[in-house]
Amino acid sequence: MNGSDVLLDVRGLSVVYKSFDARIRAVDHVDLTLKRGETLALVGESGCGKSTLGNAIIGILPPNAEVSGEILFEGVNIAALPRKQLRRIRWEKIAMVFQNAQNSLDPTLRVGDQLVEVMLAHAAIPRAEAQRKVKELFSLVGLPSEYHRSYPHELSGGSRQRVIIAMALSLNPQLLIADEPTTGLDVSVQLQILNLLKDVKRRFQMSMIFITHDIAVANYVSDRIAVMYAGQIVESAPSEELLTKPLHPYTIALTESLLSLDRRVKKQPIAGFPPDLSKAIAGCRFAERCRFAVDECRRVEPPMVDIDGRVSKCFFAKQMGDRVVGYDYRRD
Amino acid sequence: MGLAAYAARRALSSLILFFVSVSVAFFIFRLLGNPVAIMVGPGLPPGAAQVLTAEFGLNKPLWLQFVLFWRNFFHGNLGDSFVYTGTPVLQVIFPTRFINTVVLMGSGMLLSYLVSIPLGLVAGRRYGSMLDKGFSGLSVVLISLPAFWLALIILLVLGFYLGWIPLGGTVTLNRTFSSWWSYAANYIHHLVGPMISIAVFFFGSNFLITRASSANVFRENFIRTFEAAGVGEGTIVFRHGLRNAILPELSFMAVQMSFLVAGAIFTESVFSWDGMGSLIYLAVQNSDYPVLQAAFIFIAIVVIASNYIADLLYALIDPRVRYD
Amino acid sequence: MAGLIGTLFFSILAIFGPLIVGQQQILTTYTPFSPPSLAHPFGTDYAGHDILSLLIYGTQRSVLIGFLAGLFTMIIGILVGLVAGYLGGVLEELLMRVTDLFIIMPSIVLAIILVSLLGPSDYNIILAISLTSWMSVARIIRSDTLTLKSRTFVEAARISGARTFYILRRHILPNEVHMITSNTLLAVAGAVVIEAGLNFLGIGNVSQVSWGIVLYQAELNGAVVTGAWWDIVFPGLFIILFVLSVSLLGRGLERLLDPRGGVGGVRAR
Repeated sequence: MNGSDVLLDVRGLSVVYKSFDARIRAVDHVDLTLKRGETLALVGESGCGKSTLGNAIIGILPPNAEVSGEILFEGVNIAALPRKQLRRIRWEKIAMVFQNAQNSLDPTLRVGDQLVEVMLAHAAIPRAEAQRKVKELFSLVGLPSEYHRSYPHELSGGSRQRVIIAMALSLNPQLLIADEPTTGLDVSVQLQILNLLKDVKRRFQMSMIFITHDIAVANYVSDRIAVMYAGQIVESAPSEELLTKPLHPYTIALTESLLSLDRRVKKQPIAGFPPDLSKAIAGCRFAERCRFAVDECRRVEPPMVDIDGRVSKCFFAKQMGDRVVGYDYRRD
Repeated sequence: MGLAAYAARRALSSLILFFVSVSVAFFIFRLLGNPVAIMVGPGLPPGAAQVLTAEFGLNKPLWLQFVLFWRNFFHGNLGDSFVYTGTPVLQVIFPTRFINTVVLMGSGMLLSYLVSIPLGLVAGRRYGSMLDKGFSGLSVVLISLPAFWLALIILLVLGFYLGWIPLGGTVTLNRTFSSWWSYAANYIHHLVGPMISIAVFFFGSNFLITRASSANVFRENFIRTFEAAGVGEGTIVFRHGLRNAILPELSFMAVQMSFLVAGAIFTESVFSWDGMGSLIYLAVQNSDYPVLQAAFIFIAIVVIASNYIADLLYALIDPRVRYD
Repeated sequence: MAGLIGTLFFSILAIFGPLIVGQQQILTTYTPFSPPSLAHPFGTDYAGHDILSLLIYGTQRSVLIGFLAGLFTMIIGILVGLVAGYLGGVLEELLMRVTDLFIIMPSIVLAIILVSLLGPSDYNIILAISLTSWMSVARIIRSDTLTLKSRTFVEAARISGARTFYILRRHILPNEVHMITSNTLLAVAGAVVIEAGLNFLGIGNVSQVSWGIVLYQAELNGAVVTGAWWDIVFPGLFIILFVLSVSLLGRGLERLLDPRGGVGGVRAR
């Protein structure tokens, strides 16, 4: 693999939230790489650490978060950068599209002014030029340019999300992190936004990290999927492969719920709850809810097993692959 | 809809409120006291009694007096002051005393806001920090202090002990001033004491309210958006923070007007500042009812007007409000 | 907790004050305006009276006025709030408008005018304070009543045909006890401050001793000009400490007595 191909290289990243009485390991020794122009989806249930991971990459963790490990962006470890330099990186190189656009914009300012403010915070360009750029961006994301004079509460959920996307694109970043950008939107609008993101990514030649709990959406949008559970990445593979032939029990469970949706088979939710991340956990984190688990799973933490270029954190990864899950789910 | 219609609606209710409060004052004075004694009292020059009786219909039934009262009101006739031997009340109040009070209250409140609001914003941003706890504790103490006592203490400390401010009055008496400038300087010198007293008195509540509202605002999602977007801390606190947090404080500002009046009376009497507050004090001492009545009316006007302005400002800043 | 101690202290002073410090003692004069010393821990005032004695003696009047005024404030406020909240309809609208009106009218001026019209007696002061302070209580009680009214157990009582008065007595009031006690205490605290203010201005009966009157005499006789800080600071401290004690007690009681708080509370405060 060519070195300059890799835009983002995360090595052994851990994030611990400290509070008065507990230390919560939200992210535990995560490794991942992202190539230029690639879209990686981070999939997992609430609380698995995917948002924390995204926030860590862009550097907006709260003050009580302790970060260890490396985040190499274009070869530079941004986890260790001082604040001032991080501000250069943030938004200019890495931008974020937030979930819940309801409250992601200042309700007392017009949306156009909010974009202008962001742009002017980074480049000393004349206000008129920034305003012109806003109109350009708006038409790019499919908004009528007059909307720049609107207030957030005057716009529909989908339009607001487009504004957020426009704001993220305003400084031509190389990496876009989208954290559940379609959650809470109408289904039809969701599709529009997803297509918009794909389109925009292509046009700006960006890489994208797409965070979601919905594996179907992940498949629609991304080249590769990394599945997260309880702060760890448990499997990572190209999207189609992951869905047609999952190599980890958790992924299997996730795809099965997809299956049931489609074939009107009785849905089996995954029984149990995720582990308490404030305590040290022995063995595999998914063991308690895993139908394939054996004793050893509960005692020893499984290694990341490499199979044909894919990885899976399970002792029985290979055996998972031999099972006939057989759902030919093709991306359209 | 929009701003204009909202402004019109609020203007109408303000007018009604004004009419009702003045009427209430009218009846309180005449039902609890003697309708004649309210307008005619000792100290008036001879012949004035007859004039007033005719103008205000003091020997006529009450409802007729009510009508005459309003007619006279719109002609600027509110009776004559007992203490000032027959000077029309309006002249007693305007322009000097009214202006003196407005200057004092205005500068005092302005000073208070200039200090308490930024501090409140920062305290909310850094909730739980030493700075926050320190000023919050201070504020809690400050709001339990009686206004007049605070004024006395400030006068003592700044006036007696430090000698920085004169011990009372609006301008030094029995002094001729060579120029407008020296007069103004002397005036301002006298203003400092009461102004600081007002500012300190109102600091506590303004600070606490701004801080509470600010703490809520800084927990919102959009703050995170702008932090992520690399916007500077100053902009976050003083643009986004201020615009969103100021709203509860604005409503409070309107309510403060009533306390402002109390502050005026106490502070002005302690500092012997020639404003409406000390006028009220004087009037009460001497049972000068026409003056009291007029003072009440004007204060009501000011309170209602400032409530109205605050409402408008609120609507201006928060675009969501207009659409009700 | 501290509030309880403070309040008890002042209550005792209020009740027994004039016994501890006899009439004779407060009338005795020593050197005018002498600073605090062993003989006079709080110094003496313009005429030479011992300030500490004055303050102890005057506690009764100040606290009594404050207490009664607070009580009446609560009575008016509760009546208005309860009726408005429970009966609703046009009556509620009307009562709320009246409340708004009173809130707009500058209360201190109104109080001053009332006392001026009615005469400088303590009873009039109590009346004036009550008539100008009830509004915030009314609002709180009304909103609480509205909330309680919609709770299921009240609905059940109404459907089963209970009479209004009965419901008010058995269901609504008991749930309001914590609010009522704490607000009464806060009202008392507020009333004492207003009383001090009114007496300071010399509007009330100036021949009787109270905390406000001590300050009135101080100001009138130039305590500031002669730098007699003790004549100002100590009376003020009495007032402040009383207010703080009562307020703390009030807030503490509210939390303690709240039926919803703590174990199994439905709504967090």
